[in-house]
Amino acid sequence: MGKAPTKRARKPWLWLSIAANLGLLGFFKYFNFFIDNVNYLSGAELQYMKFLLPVGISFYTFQTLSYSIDIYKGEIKPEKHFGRFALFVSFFPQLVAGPIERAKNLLPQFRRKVEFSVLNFTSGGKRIIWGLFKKVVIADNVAILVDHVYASPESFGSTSLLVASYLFAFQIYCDFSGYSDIAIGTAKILGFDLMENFRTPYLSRSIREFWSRWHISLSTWFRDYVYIPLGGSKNGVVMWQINLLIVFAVSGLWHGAAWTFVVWGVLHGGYLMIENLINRKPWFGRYMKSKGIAKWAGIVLVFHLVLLGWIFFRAEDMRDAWAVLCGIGQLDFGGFLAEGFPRGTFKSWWLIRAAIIIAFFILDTPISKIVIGQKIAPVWIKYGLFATLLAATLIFGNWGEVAFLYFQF
Amino acid sequence: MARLIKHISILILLSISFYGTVMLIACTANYKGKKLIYSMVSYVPRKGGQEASMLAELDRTENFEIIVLGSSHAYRGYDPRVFAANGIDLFNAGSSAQTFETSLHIAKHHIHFTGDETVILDVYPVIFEIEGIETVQRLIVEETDPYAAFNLVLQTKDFRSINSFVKRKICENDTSDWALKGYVGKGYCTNPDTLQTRPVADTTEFKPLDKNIKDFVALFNFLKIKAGRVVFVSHPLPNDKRTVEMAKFLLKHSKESSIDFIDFTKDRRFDLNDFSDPYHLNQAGVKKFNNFLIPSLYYKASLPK
Repeated sequence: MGKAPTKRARKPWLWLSIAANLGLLGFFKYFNFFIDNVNYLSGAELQYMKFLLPVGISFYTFQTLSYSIDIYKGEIKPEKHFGRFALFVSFFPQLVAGPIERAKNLLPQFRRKVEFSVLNFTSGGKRIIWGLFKKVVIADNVAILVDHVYASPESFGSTSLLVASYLFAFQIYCDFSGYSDIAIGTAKILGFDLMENFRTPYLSRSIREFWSRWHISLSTWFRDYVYIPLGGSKNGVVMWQINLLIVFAVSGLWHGAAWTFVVWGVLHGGYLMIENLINRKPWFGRYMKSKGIAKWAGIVLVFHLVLLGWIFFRAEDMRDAWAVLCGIGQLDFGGFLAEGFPRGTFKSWWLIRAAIIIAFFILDTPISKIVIGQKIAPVWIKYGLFATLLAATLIFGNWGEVAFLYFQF
Repeated sequence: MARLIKHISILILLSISFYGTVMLIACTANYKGKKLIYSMVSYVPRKGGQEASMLAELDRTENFEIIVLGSSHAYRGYDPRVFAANGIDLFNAGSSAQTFETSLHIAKHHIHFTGDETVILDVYPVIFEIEGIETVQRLIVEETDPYAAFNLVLQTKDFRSINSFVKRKICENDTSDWALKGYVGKGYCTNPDTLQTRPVADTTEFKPLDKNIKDFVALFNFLKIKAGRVVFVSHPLPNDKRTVEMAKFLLKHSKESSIDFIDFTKDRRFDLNDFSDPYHLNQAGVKKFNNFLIPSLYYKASLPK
């Protein structure tokens, strides 16, 4: 493709690359989903294929797709060194769950000589400590209760379902952003800079802002390689809204081969469509700049809209998602902690765990800023902070085998 | 580089200080009548369980004809008094949720083998499937030999074991945190209750963990060398129907052409009145089970008369 002089000449090669990449992804990830739907609709009994999903296939497929598209657009030159290209596709810190890197960011870094740097080591080490705390102390501990409730949602009352759903919002954030921190920190120690993937997303006051702070590498990928090529907002209001809905439905499907993920994506697309209708009103502009109660009311509202989406994202299937929504809707708020929680849930030590989660929510932004280096803190605060995080991780961490949530995608 | 080493050293020292201070407070201060540590983490066991009494007694015991290893099915299911009434000297070295890893630890560090004894390994499918965190943590806290406890910490490579070991050291001079009920000696504990409703049968697929398979093979190989004979026994269990699958598995991984496996799981001579809960026999059930088992040991497992 790189040798072809014009875009027109490069196009067949681009389509070949897209077909090969999406063909592999489609076969491994969506074949059984397709069979499932055909069987459901036609009553046929087509056999499922039994194979293991290659680890991180969704992530490196998107990475290689962006490489091909950038070459087609003439934004980058093809990498002639096979080793460097292979490293770009399979760079281990971000291979299984991102951040989804762009060739123009990562490949040039592989071409320069890398030397050990004390600054990189300390900076990367801090990211890893922070990521490990988020994953092992917050995400894995709340997972015990979330998994228990979501395994059979019809057995629980409104309080348990609501608490489990709130906790899942923290679980998925801490799990995924924790992984991203560990990946970015590991790469930093090796001398490479990966892109930021999260910026305290639950403090967003609009859905648009949420998507500029949540899984940034994926949302910018969809913006650059799906939304803009579809026409973005340039072909009238109707096409703009349709494009948004398509992008979010595909984004949902990218997360998993199930209708729950599609609903999650469409829900976010719908939120954005509504937001697009109101964001030109003068009061919306004033709201986005407001401080105090209006700002926090907006943050709480956006968080709950996102939370509604997480119920579909976490549920095993549409039936379970519906059971969670109906269970919460019954407003039966008695009986929490008396609903047969297993050992190791919040039953005996929920106060301390709740205190840690609340403290995390309050301190997430300032700590993240110190970790990233946006905020300069006195050296004794940094020592105290990271020593506390390490000690807390050792004591409160759930050290059982709990895989990262995004490994399944 | 010197600056980096200085930074890391300060951070490690500070982390250890914070960790030590929190653990010291958590293991000495009380919250709602019990040590704070028990309200902070779920896996650190209270001091003074059956393991403490059993291991102390086992360390003093030189000779026995039969020794039992296994989980709570073992220490609540094989009554030395019933065996003694039949002229057999039995010691029950089972413990709560004991896995093959901890069975091997007990066998290596506490059992005085002569080469004539019979080892009953009480097996049940769940033991192949669990992570085994409970038994390891209990043993780290109750182990009579601190070096053996530390070895277990190193062996598990798990931060939870470090926390349990630190708690053990801080609370070394404490008496038991709770009163163990029903301990009658030689490792055995009675169960007084009676089950009211029949439990639902467990028909889930038998999914042994790789680690447990490795530990099982290591334990079996160790016992083959040290003990006179090894007998696998599954005690009555109305809610687990997977022992046939497990028996095939035992045969495959023990690499023997035949093994002595006595399976009571589906024995129809037991009913609800024999159980204290879905998983354990009550005292009447234990007596019945042991009296059925003893002749089987003679005839099916060649126990010397």
